[in-house]
Formats: sequence, structure tokens, C-alpha cells
Amino acid sequence: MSVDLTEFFQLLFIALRQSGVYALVALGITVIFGLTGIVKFSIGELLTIGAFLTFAFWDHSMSYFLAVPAAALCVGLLSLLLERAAFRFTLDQPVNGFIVSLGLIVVLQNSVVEIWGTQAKSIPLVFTQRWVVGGVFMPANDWFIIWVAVGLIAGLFLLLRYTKYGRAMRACAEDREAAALMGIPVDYVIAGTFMLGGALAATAGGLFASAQVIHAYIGAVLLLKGFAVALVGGLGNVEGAVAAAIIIGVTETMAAGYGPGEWRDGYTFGLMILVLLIRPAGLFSARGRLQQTLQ
Amino acid sequence: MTAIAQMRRSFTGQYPIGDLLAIRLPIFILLLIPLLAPQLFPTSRLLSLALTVTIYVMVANGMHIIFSYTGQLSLAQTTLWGLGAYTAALLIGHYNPPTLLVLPAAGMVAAGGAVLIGIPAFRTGGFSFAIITFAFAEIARLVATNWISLTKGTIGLTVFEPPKGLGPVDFDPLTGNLTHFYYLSLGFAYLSIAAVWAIRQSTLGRNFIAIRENETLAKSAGINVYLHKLIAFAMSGFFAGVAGVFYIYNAKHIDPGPLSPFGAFFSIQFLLMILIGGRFSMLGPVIGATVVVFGPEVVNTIFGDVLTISRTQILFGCLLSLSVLTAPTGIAGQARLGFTNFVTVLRHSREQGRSWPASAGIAFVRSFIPVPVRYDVDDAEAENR
Repeated sequence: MSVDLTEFFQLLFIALRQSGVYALVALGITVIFGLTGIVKFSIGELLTIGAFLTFAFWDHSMSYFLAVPAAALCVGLLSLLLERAAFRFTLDQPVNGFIVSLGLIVVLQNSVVEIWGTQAKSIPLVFTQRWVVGGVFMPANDWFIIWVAVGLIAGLFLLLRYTKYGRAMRACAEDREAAALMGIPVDYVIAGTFMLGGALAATAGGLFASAQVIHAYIGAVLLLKGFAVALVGGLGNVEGAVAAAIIIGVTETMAAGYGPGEWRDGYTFGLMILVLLIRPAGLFSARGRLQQTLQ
Repeated sequence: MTAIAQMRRSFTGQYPIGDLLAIRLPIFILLLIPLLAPQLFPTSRLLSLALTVTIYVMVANGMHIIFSYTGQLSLAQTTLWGLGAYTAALLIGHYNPPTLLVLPAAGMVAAGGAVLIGIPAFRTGGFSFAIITFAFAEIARLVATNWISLTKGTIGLTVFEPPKGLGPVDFDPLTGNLTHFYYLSLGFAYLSIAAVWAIRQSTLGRNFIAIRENETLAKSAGINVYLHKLIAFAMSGFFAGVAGVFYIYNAKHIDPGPLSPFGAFFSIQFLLMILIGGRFSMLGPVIGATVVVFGPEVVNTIFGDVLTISRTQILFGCLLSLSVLTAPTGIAGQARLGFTNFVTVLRHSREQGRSWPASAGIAFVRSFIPVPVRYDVDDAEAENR
């Protein structure tokens, strides 16, 4: 295999890993928006907290494989708490929900600083093996991230499509009042969705912690990446988010690999702005929101 | 009718004399208090906080136009502020022109930046606008970090020149008297308040509010929504750019670090000022900026340095969320409600034949309950019985 092709596949592999993390964040955002119309900006900070909780559990000699679900559960509960305390009052006015989430960004970010400080932390690689296929380095740890992401995405699809809860969610997204009249406990469904979104973001954070160094401000950049993915895919569109995650992951990694790397984030934001200009409702939003795409 | 007579008639129609004496005059007098800040604040630390308030007021007033009046949540306000500061730093560093040239130049550059962001961003609305401005803020930070030949990258730009060309007074906030620089900044803060007032009174301001209230309706009434949004954004950028000049003269340094004023997260702080102060009131940003800057100082003085920077931020974040949920009109709105309640209860109580002191006491207590007083309902119910 020629060197060029090797480099290409190497970048593609890295892109895939990035896409996995982005997709998890974007799915949290997109599911919450699809159901409630609230743009939950604070999800990036939930990711940060997920990463730090994973680190804390791991630091207290818990196995990494237990630490990630434990952190996801804790953050899910936190997200549930925030929904009960704040977001449920903003369901009629999603703009207020957006502003509340801006306030929560500040609260959560500084809480992380207050508890864990501003210093960077890292968890050593969980899997240390490396495979070399045709000159392409494939660390086992990256495969782990990719497979967990794929598994969770598949699980989310199954949940939305085939379970009673998923059907209730879709019904609420379609028409909240009618769903309530049909006996669906709308409040519980919405609260559950916030918990789900938080847990997804926290899992992304936990995975991120095993691959890269974490600090109190990682949420900001990953939040924007997640949003770029969710917007490019069409807010509320679950399948679109997955496709957009791959598009953005590949674009960003390829552009940074072949072009100047210091503009890495700029490529993503540029792509997002471009897509929003050409198709303000996202690339895959011929029909738009959660309820339609999954029917 | 002459133009002046017409204006006078519309003015007295808008502001009846009782209203002028009871509300406008006290507010006007309150607004003059900052003039005494150098005399009131013995330490230079407090005076420099007051100076920070004046700079924040300019930025927040700019955000007031685009957010409160036009209804577009821009998270690039601090980026425009930073753009003004960078422009000023570059101009001063290379040519050191008189300050009266730097101010409009920085303002125009920031306004131009706002137009550049606005042209694509206003093609979308609502959340997408907020998120696109957020993305532009991050892109601007990337540019400032990576265009090293111009901005010196992460090291940032440092300016040691004092303001110049303003007569014989020494305006240097470092070597000279901070008071002079404070008055200069305060003057421009007053100007920004006056500008907001003028915009609010004009057709332009009414069009902005029409867009906020109902975009489709505004469009059907013949308002060019896209253009008006751009104008509002450019204006807010101009305010931010001018504030940037004062920032750079005062702080002497700007860099694109994630927590420097040149980051999108700082914009949330200005959103907080407007929401706490009152987005439906002209002086909301002024009240908000004062509370945000002096609030932590007051708490720290009373309770003994309990508020670190991160704790202050946590408190502010909670305040932002809480004020949106419980008091969307902010301090100014609550104060107005309290005053209206006071007057209504006082009048009603006097009509019932209570004495002046008793009426005033009841009215005073009632003015702290943030629910509008309505006697007509009670009367109607009484009649039904």
C-alpha cells in the first residue's frame, strides 16, 4: 500500500473515533430538542462532569468499565434533577430554556473548577494493545470507543423504535397534548429523555477521558462540535445526527491532517455555518423532527 | 405648528408632569451619582471597579439593542468588544493616533465585524442565530490565536500608551490620576445611555421592537426585517468596539485565551446583566452591570472574602437561571411594579379614609409583594355578594 493511502486510512480511523464521541453528544442534544424544543446548551458541561466523575471513580480504584456507567448514571440523575428544578418550567417558552441552560453552563463549569481544580487530568489507556493493519495504527482503545459508541447508538435506535417508552417519546414529540390525552405520562417521558441525554453525554465524556487529557474546559469545545453535528444533521433528527457525526469527524480530521492543523475547530464551525446557510434546517431534514424521521 | 411646539406637545403627552416629577426626576438624580464616585470611593480599587462598570455599561447597552429590542440573542458581543480592543491596540501600537480617532475607528471595525457575522447569521433565526454567533466567536478566537504576525498569537497585544490628544489633562490610568480616565469613560457610558434612549424613541427603535414582538407581522407591515436586524447588530457592535478602546487603555493587554474577555463565554455575563437589570427597561443594563461588578464586592466585604472567582460565577449562573424563571422583568421591572403597587395602594387606602401614615405604611409593605394590585376585581366580587 502506498504511503499516501496509508496516511489516508490512518486519518479515516482517527476520524471514526472522533465521530463516535461527537455522535453521542449530538444524540443527547437532538433527542432533547426533538421532544421539547429546548436547545440544551449545558450538555457540554454534563460531558465534562461525566469525564471527571469517571476519573474520580477510577481514581478511587474502581474499574474503568464500572466507572463509566456509574458516572453516566450519576450525570443522568443530575440531568433529571435539573429538569425537575428548572427546565420543566420552560416547556412553553423554549427560549427561556436556552437561557437557563446558558446559566447552567456557568454553574456546572465553575463547579468542576471548584471541586477538581483547573489542572488537567488523565486516565491511562484502558487497552494498551496496538494493531497495525497495512501500516495503519489502530490502538485497541480507539476500537473500544468506536464500538461502545456504535453499541449505544444502536441501543438508542432500538429504544426509540421498538420499546413502549420509545413509542411514548415519539408520541410526545408529535403532539404533547394528544399524547397526554391518550394516557401517556408526558412529564415522566420528558424527564426520562433529559436523563437519557445527560447519560449519553456523560458516557461520551467517560470515553473521551480514556483517550485524551481532560480539564474543566473541554465541555465548551465538545459542546460546539456536538451542536455542529446536531445542526448539520437537522435538530431533532436522530439518523441525521449519526450521519452528520461521520461527515464532520471525517471533514475535520482530513482537513487538519492535510491542511494546517491549528485550524481544526475552524473547519467544523465553517462547515456548520455553510450548511446552515444553504439548508437552515440541516442536511437531512427533508421531513425534520424526531417524530417523523423514526416513523 | 412649529416643529419645536410639536415636539414639546408629544413630549408632555408622553410624559405627564406627575410622571416626570415622581419617576423620571429621581431616576435622573440616581444616574448622576456615578459622577461622585471618585469622592465616594476612597480606595482606588473601588474606583477601578466603578470604571469597569462604565465599560460594561457600554457593551451591555449595545447588547440591549440587539437582544432586548430586536430580540436576537447574540453570543458574539464580547468578540466584537475584543475586536474593538484589538483594533485599538494595533492602531495605538503602530501609529498612536489621537484617542478621538481611535474611538470611532474601533467602533467602525467592530460594527463591520458585526455586519460580517450578521449577513450569514441573520439568514437563520432563533436558536440558530445564537449558535452561529457562538461559532463565529470561537472562529474569531482561532483567528486571533493563529494570525501570529498580526496579533502575536497567545501572547497577545500590550499597549502602554495613555489616551492622548484630549487637551492638557493627564488621562493615563496607570501613572496619572485614575479619576480623569474614569470621567472620560463615564462620559461615554452616559453617551451610550443617551444613544439607546434616542434609538428607543425613533422609528428605528419602534421597528426593532416590532421585529421582536412578531417578525412575520413586522414584515407584512413593510419593515425590512433582515436589514433592520443588521442595523441593530452593527449598532451593538459599534458600542462594543468603543468599549473595547476603554478596555485596552485600562487593562493594557488583550489575548485570545479561553477565559479572556475575547471568548464567547463572557457574553453570557452580559446576558446576565441585562436579564438581572431588566430587559424591558432602558436602564436595565446599567443596573445589571452595577450589580454584577459590585455585588461580589459587597458580599465579600460583609462575609469576609467567601466568594472566589469560581464561586461568584456559580452564583451568577444560578441568578441567571433563576431570574429567567421567576422574574423575567429583572430588577427594573420589579422596582416599577413595586412603585405602581405603592401608589395604587396609597391612593386606595386614602380613599377608604385611613390616615396618611397608616396608608403609607400599608402601601410600603404591599410594594414588596411582586404581584400587581387590582382593586377593581375585589370591588366587582363585593358587588356580586
